[in-house]
Amino acid sequence: MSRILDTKIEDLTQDLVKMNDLVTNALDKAVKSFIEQDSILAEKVEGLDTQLYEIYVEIERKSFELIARYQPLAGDLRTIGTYLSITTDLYRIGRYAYDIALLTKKMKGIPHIKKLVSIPRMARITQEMLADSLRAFVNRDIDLAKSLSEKDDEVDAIYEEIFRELLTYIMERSSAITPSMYYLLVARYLERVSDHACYMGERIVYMVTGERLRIR
Amino acid sequence: MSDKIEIKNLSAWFGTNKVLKDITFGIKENQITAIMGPSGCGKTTLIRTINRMNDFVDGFHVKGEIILDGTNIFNDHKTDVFELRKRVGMVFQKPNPFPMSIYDNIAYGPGVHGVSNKQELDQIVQESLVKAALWDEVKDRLHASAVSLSGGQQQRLCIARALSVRPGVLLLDEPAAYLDPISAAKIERLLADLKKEVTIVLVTHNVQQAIRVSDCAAFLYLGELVEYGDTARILESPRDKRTEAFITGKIG
Amino acid sequence: MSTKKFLDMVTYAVLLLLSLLVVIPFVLIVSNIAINGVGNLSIELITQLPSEMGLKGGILNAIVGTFYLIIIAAVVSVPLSVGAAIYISEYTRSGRVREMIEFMSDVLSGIPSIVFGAFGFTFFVYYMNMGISLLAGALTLAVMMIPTVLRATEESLKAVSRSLREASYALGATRWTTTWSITIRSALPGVITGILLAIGRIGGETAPLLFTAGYNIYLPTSLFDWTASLPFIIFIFTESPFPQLHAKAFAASFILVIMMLGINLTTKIISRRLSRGVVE
Repeated sequence: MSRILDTKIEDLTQDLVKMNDLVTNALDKAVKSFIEQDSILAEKVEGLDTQLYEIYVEIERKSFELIARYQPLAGDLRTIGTYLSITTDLYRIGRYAYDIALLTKKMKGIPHIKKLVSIPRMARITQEMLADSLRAFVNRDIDLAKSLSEKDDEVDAIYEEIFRELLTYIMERSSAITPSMYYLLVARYLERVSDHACYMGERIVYMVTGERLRIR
Repeated sequence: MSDKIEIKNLSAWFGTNKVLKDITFGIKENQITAIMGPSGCGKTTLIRTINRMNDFVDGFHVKGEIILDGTNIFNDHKTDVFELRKRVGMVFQKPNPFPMSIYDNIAYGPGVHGVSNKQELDQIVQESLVKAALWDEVKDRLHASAVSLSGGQQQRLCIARALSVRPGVLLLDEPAAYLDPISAAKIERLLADLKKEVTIVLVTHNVQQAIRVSDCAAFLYLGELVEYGDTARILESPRDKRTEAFITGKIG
Repeated sequence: MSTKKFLDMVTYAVLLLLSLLVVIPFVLIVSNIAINGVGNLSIELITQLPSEMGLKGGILNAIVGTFYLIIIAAVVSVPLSVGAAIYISEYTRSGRVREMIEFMSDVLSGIPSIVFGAFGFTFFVYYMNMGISLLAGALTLAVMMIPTVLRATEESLKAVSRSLREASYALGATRWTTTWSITIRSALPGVITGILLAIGRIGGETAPLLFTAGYNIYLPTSLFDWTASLPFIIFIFTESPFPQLHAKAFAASFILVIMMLGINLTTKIISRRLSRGVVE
C-alpha cells in the first residue's frame, strides 16, 4: 500500500536532487572563476546564493510539515532526519562556493604566481564526491557512500601538499604572501566541502541501516 | 531492572485454533510495556491469559508458563486464581463501571477480599481515586451514581477500581479506544505517574500511543512475537521488517 | 382541494375516530365505576365487617382478604421464580434444561385462570387436604404469578452486560459473589417490575379464588380459614337481587380499580427510579 508519506518523501528527494545540482553548479563556477580570475562569473555565483537559501528553507519547511503531519517512525524517521541533515550540509557547501567567489573578487588585480594545478585537482575530486553522494543518496547505495572516505583521504593529502608548497613560495619572496593566503583559503574551503560530502555519506548509511558510521 | 512477569514458550488454543505461538519475553517491573499489533494478532488473548480470564472460555488451553513473582500462574497447586486476579488487575476497552455509587464501585474489590472496616475503605477509596487522577473531580460526590460520569471519567473510575485491591500489575486493553483525545491524554498521563508503583502492560493497535507512552514494546503478528525491545530503539530502528512495516503503517 | 390532501384528511379522521373508540370503553368503565362507586364509599364501608348478610356494615373482610392473598402469593412465588431464573440464567448454558424450564413457564402463562381455579381446587384444596382456605387460594395465585416473575427475572439477568461480570471477575471475585453482588443487583429493577406486574395480574383474578378461597364474613383467623376477597364479593354481590349489595359491589370495584392503578403507578415510579442507576 503506497502511503501519502511515500509520495511526499519522493517529492522531497527531488528537491534535494535539485539543491545538489545547484550547489554543484555553484561550486564549479566558483572554482572556475577563481582560476580564471573571472569576476563576472563570480558575480553569477553570488546570485545563486539567494536561490540556494530559498530551496534550503523550503526543504526544511516541508520536512517539518511531514514530521507534524505524519509522525514518521523507524525508516521514515531516519529518512526525514537525514534529509534535514543533508540539506544543511549542502547549504554549507553552497556557502563555501559563495566564499570562493568572494575571494575571486578580492583577488582582482593580483596575478596568479603560477599555473594552478593542485587546486583544480582538488576541485575535481570534490565534484566527484558530490556526484557520488548524490547517487548514493538517490539509490540508497551504502557501499558508494562508504567509498567517499577514500576520496576524502586524497583531498586531505592534496591539502597538505598545497600547504607545504605555499610555505616554500612565501619563504622565497614576500610578494607571494597575499596570493598564497588566498590559495590556502580556497584549498581550505575545498577541504571542508570534501568533509561535508563525507558527513552526507554517513547520514546516508544511517538512513538505510540505522548504523552510525564515521566516514572520514 | 528485573522482570515482574516472565512469559516462557507460551502457546494457546481456542479449541483447535492456535492463537498464540510459542511466545517468550519478559515484562519489566515498574515500566510500561506496550503490546501492539494489528487486529487479530493475539494481543488481547495474551493479556487475558496473564490474569487467567480466558479460563472462562470453553475450549481454551495453554502450553508453556507465565511466571509472576517467581511462581507459574498455571500451577493450580501453588496459585489461587482469585488471588492472582487481585495481584493482576485489568481495565477493559469499554468503560464498565458497576451501576452503583462511585464509592461503592471502588469499595467493591476490597470488600470481596475481606476488607470491611469503614475507615480502611474510605482510605482505599481516596487513595485509588487520587492515583487515577479522579479524586479532585469527584471528592464531593462520592455517593453519586458512577453512571453519571462522563466517558473519560468512567474509565478513570475503572482504573481506580482496579487499583483498589493494590495490584502489582495492571493490564489495560486499549483503554482509550472509546475516549476522546483529551480524555485519552489524561489517561496516558496518569499511567506515566502510576508506573512508579505498578507494572503496566498496555495493549493497543494505535502505534502512536504505544510509542508515546511505553518504555518497552512487543510486536505481535498472527500470534507470534515478532520483536521485543526498548521503545526508543524500535521507533528509530526496528530489527524486523514486519515491525517496520507495521509501525510505519504499511500493514495492519 | 386536491385528492391527496383530501385522502390525508380522511385518513386522519378515520384514525382519530378509531383512537376514540379505543378510549371509550376505558372511559365508560372507569366513569361507571367511579360514579356508582364513589357515592357508596364511606369510612364505614372500609372499616367494618359486613352484617345481616352484607346488607349492612362494610367490606373490610374482602379488603383484608385480598391483601392477605396477595402477600402470601408473593412470598411463595417470588423466591421460587427468582431462584429458578437465577439458576437457569447463571448456572446453565443454553441447553436442554434451560429451554425446558422456559417452555413450561411460557405454557403456564397461557393457561386460562379458570383452569387454575380448577387445578387449585383439585390439588391444594382436595389432594393436599388444605380444604377451601386462604392458603389454597394464595397458593393458586402464586402458581399464576410464577411465569411472569420468572421470565421478567430471566430477561433482566440476561440484560446485565457481560462486561460487568468480567469487571467483577477481574477483581478476583468468585462466580457466586459476582452473581449475587453484581448481576442480581443490576437486574433488580427488572425483577421488581416483574413482581409488581405479576401482582397486578393476579390481584383482580376471580376464577382461581372461586373454588379455593371461599367466603367469610369475618377476617380469616388462620391460613386454613376461609377468606373473602374483593373480586369474589363483586361477583356474588352483583349476582344478588339486593340493590344495597349492588351498590357495595360498585364500591368494591372502585376500590379494586384504585388498588390496581396504584400498583401500576408504583411499578412505573420504582422502575424508573431504580433504572437510573443501570448501565446500558
